[in-house]
Amino acid sequence: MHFALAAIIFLASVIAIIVRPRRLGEAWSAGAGAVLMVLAGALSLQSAVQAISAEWNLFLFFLGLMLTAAVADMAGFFDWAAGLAVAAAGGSGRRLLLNVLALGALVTTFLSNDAAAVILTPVVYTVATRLRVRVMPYLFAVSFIANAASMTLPISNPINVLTGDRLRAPLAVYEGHLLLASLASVAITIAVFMALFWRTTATRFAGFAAESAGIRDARFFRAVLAGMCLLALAYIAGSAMLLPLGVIAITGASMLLAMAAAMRRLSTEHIRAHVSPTLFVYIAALFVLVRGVQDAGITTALISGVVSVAATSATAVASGLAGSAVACNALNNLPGILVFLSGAQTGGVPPALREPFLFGALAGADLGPNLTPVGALSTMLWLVIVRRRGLEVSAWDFLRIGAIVAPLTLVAAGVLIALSFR
Amino acid sequence: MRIGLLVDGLHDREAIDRLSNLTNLAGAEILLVYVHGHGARGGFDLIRRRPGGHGLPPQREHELAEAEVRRGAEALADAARHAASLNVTVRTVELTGEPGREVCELAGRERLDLVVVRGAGRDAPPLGPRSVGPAARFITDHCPCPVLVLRGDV
Repeated sequence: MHFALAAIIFLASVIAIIVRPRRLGEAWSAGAGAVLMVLAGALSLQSAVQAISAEWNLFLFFLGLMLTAAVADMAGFFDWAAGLAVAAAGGSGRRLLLNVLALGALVTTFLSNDAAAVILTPVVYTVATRLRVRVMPYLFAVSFIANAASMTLPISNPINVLTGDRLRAPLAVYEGHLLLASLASVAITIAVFMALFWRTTATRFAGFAAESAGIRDARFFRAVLAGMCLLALAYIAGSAMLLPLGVIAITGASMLLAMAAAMRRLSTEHIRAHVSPTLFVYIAALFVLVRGVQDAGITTALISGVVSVAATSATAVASGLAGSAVACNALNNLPGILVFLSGAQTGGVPPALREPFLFGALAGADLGPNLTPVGALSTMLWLVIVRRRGLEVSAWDFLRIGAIVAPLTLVAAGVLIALSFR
Repeated sequence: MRIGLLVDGLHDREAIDRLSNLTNLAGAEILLVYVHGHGARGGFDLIRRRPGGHGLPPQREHELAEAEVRRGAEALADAARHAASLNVTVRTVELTGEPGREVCELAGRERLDLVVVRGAGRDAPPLGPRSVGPAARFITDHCPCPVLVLRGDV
């Protein structure tokens, strides 16, 4: 009974998240599903509270990341970095594309893929529009590199923090399995982009003095830059010592905020724009929904099925990678990886294969989203609706690029991660 | 002869030169049209779309809008300067909306004799069949006057 009830509520919630009936936000669909899961008796209130409170590290990490990005934006960091990319391009559209890809990879590595997609995208859009070059290749570049580079460090993608909490792998182990795969996926993405857009970006542009654009207070900018460098070092040291990254993120963000306040540069508009309270509702609700199906034994059965094809470390990596890439595109990446982690946690994976399976699943969840636009079926459905209304968006171009980039990076990452377990 | 030419800010000089090579422009009036479309903004919104939803700080929104306005104005000014060197009468117009639809409506309103549009001028990656692009396709299908589509590297 519990099995069927939990499965129905979970599936209905995921479908509502994907279809967005009456433009209902993901947080409300997931939240309603979570409440229903408890009210219907598929999960006790105590278990629901425990499912959310156990993930305090991720919540703190998300909050710290958003606040850090908000302060960086207040200081004009993203505009400054984009200005450097423009200046270094020397008027060449091709070199600008290369620089934007490199900048996207750096921002993703140290500030997460969400910061790259959400904050760097408008900066790149503004720069490309002002330079009168084709805008879309540069926007595509940010979007794809944000996923391709999101395995580099445990902080490069909140999914890494979530998975890292289960793996309890120190930084050296993490990098031992993922660094080469991450570098390969970044290199492949850059190579594919340069080849695809070689002709399209062959234009020259007259540069503009953008290095100092966006920096309204040089002293504040320098202080924030120094603070962010220290925070990056703290993240690396924290990952090496297995300290909770959420605590480091929120401590670093609080110090940056205090500095902004002391220098009278605090902008509530930036904080309001970059910190999304509904995101926390969405994540919390997903934890409850997944706990519901986990307690009913569904995730264990599901993951046992996925891992049943694996007999060695290499095949465990492959099944984790392929399974999570498919799940993340079908269910959205956060619910997708949560189902995988839950199944692996509750004994769905033999202990000997657990680590390669989870590292593979992490890579699939990080790189897989490049297969469909922003890794979500919901986005594809949204695109269909937008197309029907006659608006020209570059959705199919996303799909066409993704059809090349995603399989190449997934296969390369899978092979390199499998080799790291030999 | 009244000719409408869709300006995209990328290859307008070449398009004007190609037009002058193909037809005698003596005494012609060229209406240069720039349409602030939704295509790039659609792609932009798509990339930024994340669960929870994020708005833009007002300052950033302002910078974006300003960059778009400036791009249109500069593209039109460049094209107008170049067209003026051909001894034709030049007018410019900026519109907002879906480019194909806006150009067709303008062609009817202004009683244009010819509309010139660059095909395959979209920012698409060079994958799959080379479509002329949605704007050129819509204009070819719906324009009330003859249409000249300039394809390839203009």
